[in-house]
Amino acid sequence: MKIKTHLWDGLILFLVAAFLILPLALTFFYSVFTEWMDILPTGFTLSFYAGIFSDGAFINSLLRSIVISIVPVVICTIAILLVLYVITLYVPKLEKYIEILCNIPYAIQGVILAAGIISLYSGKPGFLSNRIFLLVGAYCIIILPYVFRGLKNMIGALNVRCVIEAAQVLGCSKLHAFFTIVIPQMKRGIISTMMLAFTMIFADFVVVNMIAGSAFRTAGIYLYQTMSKSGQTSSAIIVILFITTLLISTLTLMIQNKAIKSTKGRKA
Amino acid sequence: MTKTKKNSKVYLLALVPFFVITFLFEILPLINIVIKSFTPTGGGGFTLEHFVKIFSTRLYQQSIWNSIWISVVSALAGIVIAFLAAKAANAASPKVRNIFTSVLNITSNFAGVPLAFAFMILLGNVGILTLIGKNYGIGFLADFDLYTINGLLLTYIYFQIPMATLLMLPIFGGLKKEWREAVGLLGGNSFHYWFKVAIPSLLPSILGTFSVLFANSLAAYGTAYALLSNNIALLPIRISQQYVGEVVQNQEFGCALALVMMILMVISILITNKFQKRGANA
Amino acid sequence: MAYIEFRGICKSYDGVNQVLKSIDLDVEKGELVTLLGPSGCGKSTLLRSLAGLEDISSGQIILDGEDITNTPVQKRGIGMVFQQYSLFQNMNVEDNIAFGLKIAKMDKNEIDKKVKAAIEMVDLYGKEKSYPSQLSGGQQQRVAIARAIVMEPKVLLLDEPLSAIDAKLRRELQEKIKRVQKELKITTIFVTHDQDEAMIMSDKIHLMNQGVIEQSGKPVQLYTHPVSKFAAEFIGHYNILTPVDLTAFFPEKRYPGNYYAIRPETFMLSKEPIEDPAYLTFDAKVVDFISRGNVLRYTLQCKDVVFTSEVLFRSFALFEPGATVHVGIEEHNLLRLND
Repeated sequence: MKIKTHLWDGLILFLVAAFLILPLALTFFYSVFTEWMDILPTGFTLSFYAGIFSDGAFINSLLRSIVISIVPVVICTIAILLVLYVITLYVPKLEKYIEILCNIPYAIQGVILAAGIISLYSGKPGFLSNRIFLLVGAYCIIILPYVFRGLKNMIGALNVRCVIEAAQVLGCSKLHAFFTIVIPQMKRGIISTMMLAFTMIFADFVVVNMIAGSAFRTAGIYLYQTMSKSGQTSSAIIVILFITTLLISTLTLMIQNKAIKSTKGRKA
Repeated sequence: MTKTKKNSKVYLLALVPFFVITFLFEILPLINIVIKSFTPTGGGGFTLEHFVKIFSTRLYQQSIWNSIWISVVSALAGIVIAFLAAKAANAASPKVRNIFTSVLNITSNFAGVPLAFAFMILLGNVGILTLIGKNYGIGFLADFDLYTINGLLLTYIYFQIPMATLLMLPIFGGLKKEWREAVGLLGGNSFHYWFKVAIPSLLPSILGTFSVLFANSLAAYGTAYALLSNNIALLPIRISQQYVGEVVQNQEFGCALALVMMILMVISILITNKFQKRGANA
Repeated sequence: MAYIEFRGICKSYDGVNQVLKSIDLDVEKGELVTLLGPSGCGKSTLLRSLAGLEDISSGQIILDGEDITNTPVQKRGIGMVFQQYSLFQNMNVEDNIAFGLKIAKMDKNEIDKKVKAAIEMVDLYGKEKSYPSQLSGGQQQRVAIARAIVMEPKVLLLDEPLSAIDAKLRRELQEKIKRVQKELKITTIFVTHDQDEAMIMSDKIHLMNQGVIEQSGKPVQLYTHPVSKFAAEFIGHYNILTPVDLTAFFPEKRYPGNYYAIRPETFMLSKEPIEDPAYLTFDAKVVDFISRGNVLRYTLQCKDVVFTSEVLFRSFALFEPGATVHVGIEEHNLLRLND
């Protein structure tokens, strides 16, 4: 009876893991072989990787992806930190309204937000209809709930009020204390939150496709356009993008675990 | 000497960036969607024509229905698989559980366009499994059509599984060993334990997970777009179609569709909140 | 003119809840005074209003001859130690202590010298480079004290700094604080809800209750002569008795007022009738007793009045439950209370 359950559990885990890994593994193998007409592929090659890395268009799209992912993350993080400064030290009552504003994006994920933004700003004069400006704004909203929640939890775990008061008594202004004492303590949490937000934007397709399209070719758009041309090149791109995301999210997890440990140590 | 109390509100300046961003890119677009939904194409006046069109045209009825259907079915499938997987992982050794969790963490990043592509090379017209099916006469592989709503469903189920299981694992961690022992002491068997104790106590969290998954697939776009382009009746695709591509664009109509989708989203979020509150109270 | 003067301090939240009700209080230079009271009595609020961390609704605060009512926190020249650990986690011990001096843009060598002296004063030699997370609670509070005194503040405020620290270490830190205070002759206001702690530490205690100062005085004075029912209950294990209760003891006497307080140790218990004319006497029955180390605490009953008495634990004077004892008390130990 006991052994049977174990076998059954093991089988489930194996099947689920296999189903999840199969498409991923396949994409990888597809990118390193020239032919795949039967069970096993033939003609091992790294030429597809060599190809995309020598393709300026791909490198540029990758750089665009990275830049367009970093800028909104930085803006959003700073904006939220400033808001947290005000709500923890001056107007705690404001928090519930801010929280509502930060939760609305859950309900207007992706396509809805993009539709709202383009139909509002397209054709408007000046910078307001600038696609990149709109893209940055849209991404700020997409990551808003996650950044807010991440940073708020982080600041909640610290004894901000008391620490700031201690600094004030020692002759330091509130703002100065917030940036020299509180923020450095949140460093790890801030970085891991930013990296999580980064991977969300980095993986985006819908918003960039609707707002900018081919006017701002990110790696996602580049991949979409390559798909109809070369399967192997596409899979090589996927592997590269995937590894990038994976590295960042592994790093994020590591930083988060450390951050949790250090706050625990602090409380003890 | 009179010192006046310094009561300046300079600190409110710190709120400016946040409010500028949310006003320009959240509040205004949101209001805009609502207003444009009731504005005739091209502007001016008030109309319900978009909603009449949505609810009377087969394509849009089908889109709403398909979106709900694929979200419900993929979420249900995700829940069932995640339930079994989380239960198994919970019973497994820490080492196996860690490996399995890593697989989930890794594959939870695999979604959107890359996922669609992976399934194309797996099960597309010249996909590897399709070829194997053809070469060896395995009917269901050879005849599997990825480019239909059922094919799409498979990809949706794929991206639901890691997320659902990652959400379910901590829930299973909350099941107390004592409960099982108590059921045993009271003369109950494993059936009693699962159906009278464990599942009822997990239910609020499971339903909460369900609505997260529902919203997740309702909003999903990349996979469907990469797989089927505009050739499928699905809400997000129909919305984006009003803004991109060569087809005549109709922004007001797009807003009306977006509003419908938003309402579906809000409903699923309200349900989540309700269950989470109940879960917290329990 | 006192060194610190609180004049008519009122504080209310939302205009209704009065936390401080027109408090007048003087503190002399070099004194260690304690604000003692139960939680919510307003003692911390009063302390924080002196620091400038809490706005007051009306009143005036004078420090060293200067009206500081509207002076910003940073400019008041005050040192403070908080109940919660408030060290800067991203800085080591040295940097924590030097923080205020650096803000004041003091010369680097001067800072080093002062920090070193402060570290020595609180016995943290060798911990200069440690981070707060590596220190025990007691050590963290010592750093906090050093961080405050290194600024040579006009007044040192201690807001229940020891309440999170376990009993044994607490004794040690109480001694430490007292020694540092005497050494530097620094005017200090200490807030606590622990009456033992207040007794040990203070030159003077201000007992607070519901936003007013109930009684002020030297520790012994407060202990032996509580003026109100609240003070009697809060300070010791006083028996609070009504005139009716006292009439049960001494039927021939009549007592005015509402309440009387009798300290448990002022009762004399005896097997033999008490002959000494200085004592008022009556008989009571032993209900129960417990031993608290060197003290025996009896629960006694006379008619329907139950009261407690404490005597030093001497084996020959043990009364079993059910026994009848003769009880004597000197009249001056019947303290009539104000309310």
